[in-house]
Amino acid sequence: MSSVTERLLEIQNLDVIYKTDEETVYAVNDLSLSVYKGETLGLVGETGAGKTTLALSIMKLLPERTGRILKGAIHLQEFPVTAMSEADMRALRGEMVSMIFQDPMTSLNPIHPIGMQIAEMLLLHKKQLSKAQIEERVDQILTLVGISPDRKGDFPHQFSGGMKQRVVIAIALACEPQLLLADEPTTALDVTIQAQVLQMMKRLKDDLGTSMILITHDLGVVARTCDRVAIMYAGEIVEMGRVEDLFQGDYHHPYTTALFGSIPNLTKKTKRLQAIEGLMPDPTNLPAGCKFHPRCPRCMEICQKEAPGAADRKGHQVRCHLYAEAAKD
Amino acid sequence: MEHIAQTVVVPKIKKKSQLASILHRYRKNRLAVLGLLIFLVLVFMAVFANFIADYDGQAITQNVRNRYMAPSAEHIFGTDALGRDVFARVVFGARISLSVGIVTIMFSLTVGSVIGAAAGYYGGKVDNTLMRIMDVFLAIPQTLMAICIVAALGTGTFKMLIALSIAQVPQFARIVRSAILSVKGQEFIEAAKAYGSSDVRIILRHIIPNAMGPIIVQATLSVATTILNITMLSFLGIGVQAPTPEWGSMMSEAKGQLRNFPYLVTIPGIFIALTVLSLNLIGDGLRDALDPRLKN
Repeated sequence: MSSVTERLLEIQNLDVIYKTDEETVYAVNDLSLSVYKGETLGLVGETGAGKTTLALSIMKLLPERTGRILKGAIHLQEFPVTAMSEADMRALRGEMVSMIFQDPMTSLNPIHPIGMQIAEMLLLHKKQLSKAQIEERVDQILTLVGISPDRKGDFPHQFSGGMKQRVVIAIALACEPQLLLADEPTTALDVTIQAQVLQMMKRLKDDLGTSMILITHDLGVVARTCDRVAIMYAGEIVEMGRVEDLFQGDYHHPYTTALFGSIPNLTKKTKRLQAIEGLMPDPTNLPAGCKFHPRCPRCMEICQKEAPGAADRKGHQVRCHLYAEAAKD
Repeated sequence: MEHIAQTVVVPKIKKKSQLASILHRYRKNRLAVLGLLIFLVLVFMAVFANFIADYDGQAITQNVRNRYMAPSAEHIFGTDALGRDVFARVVFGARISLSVGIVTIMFSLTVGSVIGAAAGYYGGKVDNTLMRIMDVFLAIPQTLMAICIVAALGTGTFKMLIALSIAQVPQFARIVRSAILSVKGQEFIEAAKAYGSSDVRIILRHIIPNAMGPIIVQATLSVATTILNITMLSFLGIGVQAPTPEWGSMMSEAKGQLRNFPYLVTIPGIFIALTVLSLNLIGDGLRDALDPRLKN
């Protein structure tokens, strides 16, 4: 993390629901979060924890008829995202904040050459550029992601999965956005390509000074690329801190401890990996008190009644009654 | 891996432009090329009808002494009940059939696409309102509807064109809507939104081109149906007015003589069939040629 801690993104007490005729899904609950300039924040959690919903809320791209921001505010620098009109948002998307989708196989339009798809981003946001300048920029950005500019006339189906993801990254970075939301950018790729793509993203991010929210459920990826980590569970951030804080010490949320217990460790001898008992709570019917209490090995009486606040230790926050004392300090 | 781009010397391959590669793929389909050739001959015939035959002298002037002449060097398709040269009538008939057929489809395709695109893309109330209106139109048989509109507006080629266009709009709206629904849910549409594309841009640049296949096929098929509809309206006496030559009315005028002078019916029939066939072959070829995934 850079020493200059200028805030780029601030989310305060965000509640997002998906409302259909039959039920209401509480996808994000009272979530607060900040991202500083130039840093990478890892957003980790199980499937259905609300990670993608959070990213879509920042882009304001929640499914129109069902998804709704119930309360809370999102500020992207001086822009109040939650209060902005659709037309203003459109100008922001791609220019200020860009998103990399999970599956490169489907996130490129199959009938346009990739060069044109990169150019489109520039046409939308950099209207002052001439045709030649756009072409030049397309070549430049393709070279940056390691694809020969000679191939800009090729169609998506002519590229491999890893190359497609690089094209997607090229599109996302074409306008040099301030914030990049990467929604599991490497999940659809095989392990060797994963490493390449992550390394490249990190390098580009550093070169362009972009901040990034990296959504993943791979703790290995987090350890390698992130500055700070937020662990999400049932729409809440249960623990957030610097990577070193998360990967060391005992000051952890029981869920984080359980997560780390469920990945193989090279140094310790373990017979069997520890799975977390039970399932994620039903998001239409969340438990009272701490959302993790039905599965928590260290559950106390208070956990069933009262939702814990965030206990902060030098910027390392844990939302658990176990550390309630620390919060009072 | 960052150095790949710099270290690997890629031999410069000459890239074809998009149009050239579409043409290249189209050319591979022999039948489509045949269809295009037939169609071009018909268009040529329609455009240069004045140079091929004499309108006033041969196509509309009655000459009863020459009636029912068998095909010969002078009248290569023979003459009809009123002694008019069938070849000249066929040549001039191509004008009406092709122009009305194509203009009708262009008009109904445009209107239908806009309605279908709005319905498919926005969904919900917009979709329901627009499609229920289209359903009302669909519920009335196309021919009956065209007849009703002509009855209300009066006869004439231009009015017939309007009637046929309105009758074709609902099916294009339906096809475009369903094509859009199948493309809309894909991730690249969401990605396009995430780049800040507007709705209109997403529909025009990302959705419609992806849904082009079925639309083009339907359009070429509909030109064929429309040509048949013109025939039908002319037969009922509310389409192209006599003595203007038109393939359909030529057939219906001669239908009583099918047994004695079969060429009077079959010759315009062959031309209708050729037009319809060539359009279908073209549609088929275009669908394959426009799909870049089939490129090799």
